[in-house]
Amino acid sequence: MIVKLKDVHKSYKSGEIEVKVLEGLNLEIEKGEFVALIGPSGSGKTTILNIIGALDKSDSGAVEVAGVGISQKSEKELTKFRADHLGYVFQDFNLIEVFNVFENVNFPLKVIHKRKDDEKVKDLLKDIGMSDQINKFPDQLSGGQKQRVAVARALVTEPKIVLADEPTANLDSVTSHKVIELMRKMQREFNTTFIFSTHDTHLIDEVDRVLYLQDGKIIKDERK
Amino acid sequence: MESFKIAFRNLVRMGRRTFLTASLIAIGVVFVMLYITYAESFKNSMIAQITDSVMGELQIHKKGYVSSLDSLPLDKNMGVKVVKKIENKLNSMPEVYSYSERLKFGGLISNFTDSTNIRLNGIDAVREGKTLPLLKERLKGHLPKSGEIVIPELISKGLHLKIGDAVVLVATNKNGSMNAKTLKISGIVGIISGPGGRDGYISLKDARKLLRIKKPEINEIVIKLKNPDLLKKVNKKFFEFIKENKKPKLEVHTWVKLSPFSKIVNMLDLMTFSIEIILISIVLVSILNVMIMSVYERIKQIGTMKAMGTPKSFIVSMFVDEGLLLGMFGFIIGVIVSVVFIYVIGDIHYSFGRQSDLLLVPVIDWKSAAGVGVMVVVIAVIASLYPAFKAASLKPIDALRS
Repeated sequence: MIVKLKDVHKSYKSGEIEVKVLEGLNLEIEKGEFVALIGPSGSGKTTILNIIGALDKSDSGAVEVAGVGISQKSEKELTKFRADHLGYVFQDFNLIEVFNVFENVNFPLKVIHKRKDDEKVKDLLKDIGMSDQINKFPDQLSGGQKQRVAVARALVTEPKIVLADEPTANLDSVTSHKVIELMRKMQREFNTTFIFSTHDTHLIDEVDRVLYLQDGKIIKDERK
Repeated sequence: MESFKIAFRNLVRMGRRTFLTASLIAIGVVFVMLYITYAESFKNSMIAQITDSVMGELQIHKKGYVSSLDSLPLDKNMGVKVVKKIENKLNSMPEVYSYSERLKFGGLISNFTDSTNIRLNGIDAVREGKTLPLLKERLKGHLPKSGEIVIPELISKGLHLKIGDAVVLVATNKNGSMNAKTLKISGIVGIISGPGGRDGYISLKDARKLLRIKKPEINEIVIKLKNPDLLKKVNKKFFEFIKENKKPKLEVHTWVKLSPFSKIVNMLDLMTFSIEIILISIVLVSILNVMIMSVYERIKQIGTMKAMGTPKSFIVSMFVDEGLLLGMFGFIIGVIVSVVFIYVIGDIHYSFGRQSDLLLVPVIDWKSAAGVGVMVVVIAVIASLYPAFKAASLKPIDALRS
C-alpha cells in the first residue's frame, strides 16, 4: 500500500463552532493507482489530500504514506518527506510567475533536489507537448497549458505520489479532459500514483478508482 | 543563484514599486553623499589651512609650554643639546617630511606714531616655508630674512602699514630686560582662525638678538608629515621618544589638541553620524515595508514552494536577496545622482570666521561612499530578515488557503 489511512479524524474550528471534516476515515490506495475523490464542497476531499500530502495533520488516527508514518513527524521532516515522495498539482496552477516554463519545471529538481538535468526537463516538456513553449512565462500561457506545466513540475522529481486538488476546476471541459488524459499518460509512463479531487463527474470514466465522499466519509468506493 | 534570479525578476516585475523604493533610498544616499562630500572637503580644506599654514601636524615643546602658551613664556625654551637630539630623531623618521624650529615671543610693534601688541615667531624662512607650504598663499610679500618682518593683516590695517615700511619691535627677554630693533616689512600675512593665525614672523637670528639670547635656543618645533594619515602612528612614536627623554621633559601635541577647529571636526563627524542614522531609518522602514508587502502578495507562491518541499533557507534567501538588491539599486542610483549633483554644483566660495573667499573643492571620498554602501546593504538585509523569516515560517496549508 502506498497510502494507508486508519481511523483518521479531523476537525476545524470555525469561530466557536467545531466542524468535523473527517470522522474515522479508513482508506488504502495501492501503488500506481489513478484515483479520483468525488464529492460536494465540504465533503472532505481537500482535507484528505492535505493529510496524505503532509500539508495538514490529522487530529487522531494513523497516516502512512509511501511506507512512512507521517503523523508524528516534525515540520522539517515533513518538508523533506514532501520533497522526496510527493508531487502537487494545484487548482490555480500556482506556477512561479517570474520563471518561464522550463524554469518552473526545473525548479523542484534544481532547488529542492540540487540536481541539474536539463535533458530530463526538456524530455518531460516534450512529453506534455510544451517543448515549443519553454521560454514562455505563465502569463503568456492558457489555463490548460499552465496546468500541463504544473503536471510536468509535479512529475520531474519522479515522486511516488502526485496529489491534485481540483486540477480541472479552472478549465473548460475539453481542456479538463486533455489534462486528465495527460495525467493518465504520465501515470502509466512513470507508474506514479495519482490522487485527485474533482467535482466533475464527467471525468470518472477516465480513472481506475473513484471514491465518493460525503460528510467526511467514503460512501462509495468504485474500482474499474 | 535561483533565489537571486527570483528576487531580481520580482523586482523587475514590480518595476514601479521597486523604482519608488529605490528612489527613496537613493534620496537618502544623495543627502548623505552630498553632506559627506562637502563636509569632508570643508573639513579637509580647513585642516590643510591649519596644518599647512600655521601649526603643522605635530609640535614638540618643553613640558608645560602649551599650557602657558597664552603668555608665550621664554623660560621654557629648549637648549642646543635637546634640540639636536630631537633633530636626530626627526631626521631618522621616514614619515617626517619637514620640520621648522621656532622661537615664539610677545612684543610691541610701533610705526613710530602708534604701537600695538604682536605675537611673533622667530623662524628660518626656508624651513618654515617647506614645513608650512600653504603659508605662502596667505602671504603678500615674502618670509623674513634678517632685518625683515612679516606682520599680520590686522596690524597692517590698524597701524596703516604696508610692505617696505619700517617698524620698531620692542620685546622683553626672560630676565625682564627690554630691547628694540628696527625692521622692514617684507610681507603681510592673512589671518586665519585659531592659535597662531594672527602671528607675525621675523628671522630666528633677529629674534635671538632682540631677546638677547646667545645660545641657539628655540621653544617650538613644528613637524609636517609626508602623509597626514600617519598622524596617530607618528604621534605614538614621538610619545615613546619623549618618554625616554628624562631631562628636560618634553611634550608632543598633534594639531587636534592644539587647534579649536578639532571641536568643529568632532561636530561635523557627529552630524555625519546623525545623517547616517536618518539614512538607516529610511532604508530600514522602506525595505521593511516593501518586503512585508512582497511576502503578503506572494503567500500562495510561498505555500506552493513549501508544499513542494522547498527548504526554509531558500525562502529566507529569496526575500533577503530581494531586500539586498533593492538596497543596492537604491545605493547605485544615489551615488550616480550624487556624482551628477556634485559635478553640477561644482566648487563653492565661502567665508569662515575672518577668512573670506575660501574655495571649497568637493572631492568625493570613495572610501566613505563605500562605507555608506556597506551600511545601506547591511541595513537592507537586516530589514528583510523579519519578512523573510515570517515567510519561511508560514505553514504551507495556511499559505495555500490564503
